[in-house]
Amino acid sequence: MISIKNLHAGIEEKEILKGFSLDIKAGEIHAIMGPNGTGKSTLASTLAGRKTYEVTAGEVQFNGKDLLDMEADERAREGLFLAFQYPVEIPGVSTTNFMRAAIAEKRKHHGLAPMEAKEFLVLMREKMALVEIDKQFMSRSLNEGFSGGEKKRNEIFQMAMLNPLLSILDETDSGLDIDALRIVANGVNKLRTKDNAFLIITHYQRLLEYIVPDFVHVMYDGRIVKSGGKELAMELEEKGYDWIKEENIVQ
Amino acid sequence: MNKDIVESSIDNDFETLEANYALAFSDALMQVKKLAFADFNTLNYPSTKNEEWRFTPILAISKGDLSVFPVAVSANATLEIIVSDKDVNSNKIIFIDGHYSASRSNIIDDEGIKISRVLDYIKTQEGKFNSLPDNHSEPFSALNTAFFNDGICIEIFKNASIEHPIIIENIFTSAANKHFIQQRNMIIAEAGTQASIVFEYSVQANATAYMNILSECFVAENAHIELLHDIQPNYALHLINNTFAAQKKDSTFTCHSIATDGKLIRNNLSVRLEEKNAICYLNGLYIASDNHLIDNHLAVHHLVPNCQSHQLYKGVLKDKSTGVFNGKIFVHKDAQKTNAYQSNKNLVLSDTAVMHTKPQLEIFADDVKCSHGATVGQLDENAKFYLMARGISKENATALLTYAFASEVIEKISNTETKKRLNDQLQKKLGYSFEEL
Ligand SMILES: Nc1ncnc2c1ncn2[C@@H]1O[C@H](COP(=O)(O)OP(=O)(O)O)[C@@H](O)[C@H]1O
Ligand SMILES: [Mg+2]
Repeated sequence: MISIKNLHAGIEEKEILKGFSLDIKAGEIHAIMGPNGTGKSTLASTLAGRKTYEVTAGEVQFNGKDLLDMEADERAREGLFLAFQYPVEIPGVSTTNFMRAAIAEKRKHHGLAPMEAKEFLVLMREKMALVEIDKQFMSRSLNEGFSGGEKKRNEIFQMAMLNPLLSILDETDSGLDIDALRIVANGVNKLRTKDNAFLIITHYQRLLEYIVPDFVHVMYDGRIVKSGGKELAMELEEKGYDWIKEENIVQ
Repeated sequence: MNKDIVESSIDNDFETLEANYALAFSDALMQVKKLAFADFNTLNYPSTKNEEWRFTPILAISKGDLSVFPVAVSANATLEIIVSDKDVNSNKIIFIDGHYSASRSNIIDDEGIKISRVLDYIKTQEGKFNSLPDNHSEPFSALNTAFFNDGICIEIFKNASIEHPIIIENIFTSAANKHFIQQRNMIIAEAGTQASIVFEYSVQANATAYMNILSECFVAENAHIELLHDIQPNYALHLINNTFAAQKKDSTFTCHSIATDGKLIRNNLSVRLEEKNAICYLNGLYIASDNHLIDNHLAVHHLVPNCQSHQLYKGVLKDKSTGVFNGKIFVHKDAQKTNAYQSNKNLVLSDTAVMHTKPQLEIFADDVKCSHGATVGQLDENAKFYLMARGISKENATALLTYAFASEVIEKISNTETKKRLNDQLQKKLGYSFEEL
């Protein structure tokens, strides 16, 4: 589904991603763990098309297309989704209108007729139930005055609405209490199919108790330094990140 | 109109007025006009050296060889003029090229309200006419007083509540192209009344409109009056829009100045809070594109204790347009316990657009709550990226965020139908529509 090869990216003179490579196939769940400041969010943003980060080398194939050749909006319409670590507050735009606009553009992109209002409402109701969001949130300004947990649930709600091929979750678990964590994990598990894939960025092993990954990668200083199965997450939980840091300084 | 008159200076114009129009006006009114003309001669057309007009060159008007006299009535009599849907329930007052059109207007029989030509009103009652101090300080008000010869007077009688908005629409045809139309309106809301009044403008194809409109509003005790200046994109409209209000105790006066483009728009809005517990809400939205200019000059006079004023003005400047905001708040010595708020926020969407914003607070009382803030900026890049990351195109993301910014002002309009209409028009103006997608 996505093939990232030797990706280098950064801001101005500072390189943050230093040769990041990863392949994800349909049906897989990958987790990326790593200490703060390692470039996890930069990876997520670069894949989503944020212009702040300049790609200096490498290539990314997404569903058979050159991802880096597309603008952020086109990437999204092609099926890439980023659940933001820090969802943005948008005063004056309701979640409903936001989703209506997003779905309309995606359907147009794929040559589909606009969705009927009724169908849209049914879809909204279904996905709201999935992430246990109250309908009053839908008419409120997007993320404005939402608690941390509400914002993260709203991200998963949007993911469910847009039904992407690849979802990147950037620390969706941080700041969540155990109930919210369960809701988020449940959302992902229900949306999982053999045709889509997930890249879950997390700092803690906690979320991975609920969403069981097929692969766990440790990221450090802009690239993957270790990969393994779900047991690697346990190991990191026990040992912390210091041994990774030490190992990589020694190298 | 004789060519010599058109080209003559304003000096000779007043002689023409005396010679040709004296019969239409009472002696008393003629006297008022004479004094106003003297005022205008001293003040003259403002140049950009005048502090109040620094950013607003009015050359199109002052050097435009425009006649201040009415358009010949015959000029538009035969024209097909399409008046937008008449709502049988609401009062609709139509002016064509500055002339009241009785046949096209819809005046409802209602004992709570009287709608008459302003000259007829002045003939019987002179007290309120031209009584507000603002009439005498501004060149355009003096010019209006000297040369107006039509306009409407709306009287709302004690405790009457007028359910539907009263619409005053000015339609301009090409017959008015060389005229600077002076229109005078009066709104007299007696105690305990409630009404909303909407001013609309429409300029026909091939027409170029110049208008100096002055509306005096008297808001009596416990009256609640809402005004809407609804200026939809009219690229050939030059408008000096003067609105002067005076409020008595426990009254509210709300004025929405919406201008979603026009060649040259200058709103002069002044509110006098004359008795305690009077509240005014002054909301404004301006969207300018091309090389257009929209200027809002506001003055709120807190004259007595315990009054409130709330100003919310938002602007979107595109292309090579200019926006001007000047908000004056005067808190007089006795006006203790005043609450006065002002907010002016601007989105400048191009490198060549400019916004001049200036709050001006003069506070002479000590127990006062007063706040003001002005911002001039661009759309938030993080917000834009968030929308694009959901598949919304850059153009639509910009339109949606601009709409979200601007619609806050529209949301303040109390009539839901009017609000919906303005919201739809705003979406259209910004190139965004939820329906189309
Ligand atoms: N827009 C930016 N401007 C400046 N520094 C940045 C920016 N984005 C990321 N960085 C820096 O790059 C490094 C990696 O950041 P980030 O990708 O957020 O890491 P992580 O998500 O793993 O905590 C950090 O040192 C961070 O300060
Ligand atoms: Mg991060």
